Amino acid sequence: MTMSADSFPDVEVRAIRPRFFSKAKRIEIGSQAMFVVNRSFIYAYMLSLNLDYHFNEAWAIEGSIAFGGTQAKEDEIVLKENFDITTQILEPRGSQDIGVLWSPMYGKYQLSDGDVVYYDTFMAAGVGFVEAEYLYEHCATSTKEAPASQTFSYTAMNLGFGQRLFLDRSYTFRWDLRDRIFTTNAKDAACDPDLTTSQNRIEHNVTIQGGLTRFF
Amino acid sequence: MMRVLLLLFIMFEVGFSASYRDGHKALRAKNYAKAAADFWEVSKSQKDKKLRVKAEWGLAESLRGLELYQSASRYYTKHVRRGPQSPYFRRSLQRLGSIHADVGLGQSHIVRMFREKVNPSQIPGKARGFYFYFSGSEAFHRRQLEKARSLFTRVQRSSEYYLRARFYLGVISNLSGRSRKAIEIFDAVSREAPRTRNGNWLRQQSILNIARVYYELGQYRDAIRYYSRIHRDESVWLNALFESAWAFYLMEKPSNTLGNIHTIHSPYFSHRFFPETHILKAVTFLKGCHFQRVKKSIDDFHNNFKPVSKDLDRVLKRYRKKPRQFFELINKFKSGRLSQYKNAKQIFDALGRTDSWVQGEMTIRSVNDELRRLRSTPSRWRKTKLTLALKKFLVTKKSLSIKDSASRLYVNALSFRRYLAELSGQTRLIKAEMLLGKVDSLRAKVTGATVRSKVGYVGGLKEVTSGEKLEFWPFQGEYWEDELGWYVYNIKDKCR
Repeated sequence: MTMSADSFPDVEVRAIRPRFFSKAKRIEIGSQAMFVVNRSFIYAYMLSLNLDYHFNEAWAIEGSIAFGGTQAKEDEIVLKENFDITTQILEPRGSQDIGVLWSPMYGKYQLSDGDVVYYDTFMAAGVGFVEAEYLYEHCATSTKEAPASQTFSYTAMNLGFGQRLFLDRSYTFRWDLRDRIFTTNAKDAACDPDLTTSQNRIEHNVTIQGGLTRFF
Repeated sequence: MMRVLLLLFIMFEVGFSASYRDGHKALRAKNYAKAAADFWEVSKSQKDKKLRVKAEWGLAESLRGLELYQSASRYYTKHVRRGPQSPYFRRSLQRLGSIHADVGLGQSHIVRMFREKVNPSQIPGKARGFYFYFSGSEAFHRRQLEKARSLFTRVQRSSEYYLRARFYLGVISNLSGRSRKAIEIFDAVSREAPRTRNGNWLRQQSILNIARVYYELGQYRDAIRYYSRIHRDESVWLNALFESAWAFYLMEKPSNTLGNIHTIHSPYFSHRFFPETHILKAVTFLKGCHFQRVKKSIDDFHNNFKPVSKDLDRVLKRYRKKPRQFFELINKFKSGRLSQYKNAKQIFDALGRTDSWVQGEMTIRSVNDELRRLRSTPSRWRKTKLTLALKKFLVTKKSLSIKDSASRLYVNALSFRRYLAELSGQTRLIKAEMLLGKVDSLRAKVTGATVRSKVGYVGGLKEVTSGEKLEFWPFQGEYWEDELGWYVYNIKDKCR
């Protein structure tokens, strides 16, 4: 029995009921649509697949894999077409993570029609890889073609938080806000790496992601 | 001259025989409106009794085909009242049984139908269920339990009244002191009841009755187990919560007693009539030596129910000999149109949940529906006065149903008034004895029947299970819909 004998000991009236949604010792599988929100010239969207194992109500480990594509924003198109300016862009292509989730908060919302929605809030931390592609479009000149695009894999750490809204005893709607932090090198994006000084740069992929998960 | 008269007579007779044949043809072709008109004409003017009887049967069948069940019941009843020698007795009884199960004939109709003594052995096969069930329920309401039992046991399994008869047998067994037998019967009924409106009612009542039998036997844990099987969305859930509060009290579990009462006193149920919860709250606090709270519970009872009693007294006085208006008063309340007697709303709500209302309202609603439909009958119906005859019958039936239902509702209202007076007397006794300092003897009175139980309970009538994950929500003055039924008090015994 995991009831804590001192839960709200000073409160005279309590509602004590079986937990609506129990995560302990259950596997969670889900998929989320993911949007990178901090890239100025492109829309970057991915599909993420997650696999979690919950040790108890508070702690879980998670593995995830994401892959996707990008689309130029209007700003980039205008710069290119009207001003012949090509920007140097890091194009996210995917990620793989492994991490830990901590859910310190379990609560409920009451909707205007009286229905109640249970949720929990979690924080996430982990490590993994971020795949980024450089197209080198900015390297093309009137006399020289742009080099072929290249994809680099960078070691990253990720931090984030999110919520699960429990739809029933098995399904949840989950949203996350994550920041994947990794280091790139100036040579990676350079038109001519041999002529470029090696210089590390810290990059962030800030994503907002949401989707359905199922507990087994 | 004689030849002319004979010719006219033959034409007349042939004409009406032709109408019966036409009616029969129309009935077989499912042209019920025409069939009804044809049979009606024959039944009104045919001198041949046999043909008249046949025409009445045809008319009943036609009206039934048009789903004018109440109207059809008039003619089926005629056949039943002719006795088993009527060729249509058996089938009429079967038809009436089905009609009653669907739309309700009304108690007065059935009583009148069976006023003529019938030899049960003459009632064939399928018709027996209806006959024995109603004879049994009449005997039961006259407290002739053995007679009722012998009648109910004759309702055959294939009858649509079988489970209801079994339910009554369970009640009779319990009243006769055979509790185990009663539980067995109720259990069988609850398992066999179909997933229909009537079936759900039977299931809930059977489960509730099993709980009550265990309660009477002092097996409170078993009683609570059955009370917990009544789901939150069922109409008797609050009754289960209230009765189990008493069971918790007798198990010396004040936290659960008060927790259940906390739900019943929530704004969600402010319209429900459970005055005794205040008394139970008072005695629970008394047992734990929370004397100020005893006083508050008693004061709450008086503050809430004194105005109710006043309004109820006014209603009882005003409507003592006005059944129609009394029925209309409750009808107004049920449809949200009542602006008077605001303090007595709990009483009207309680009355609206009684069988007296539910069954009466079902019958009256179907009668009103048929009266509405009669406004658009074929012109031939109006010309031959079939519409008029049916309207007259339905209006009389409605009037009798209202009177019958209202008189039973009035008796219910009187019993509520007596109940409130009794509870008020109990509060005065508690208050007086506390004022006189006779607290110990008072506590001894309320402690006597209790049996301490080692079983632990969380909210919702659930026993604590090892390994179960629980969630705790503090009540901070705001009721949440998902917490109803799950409250538990955290209260110390001040006596020790």
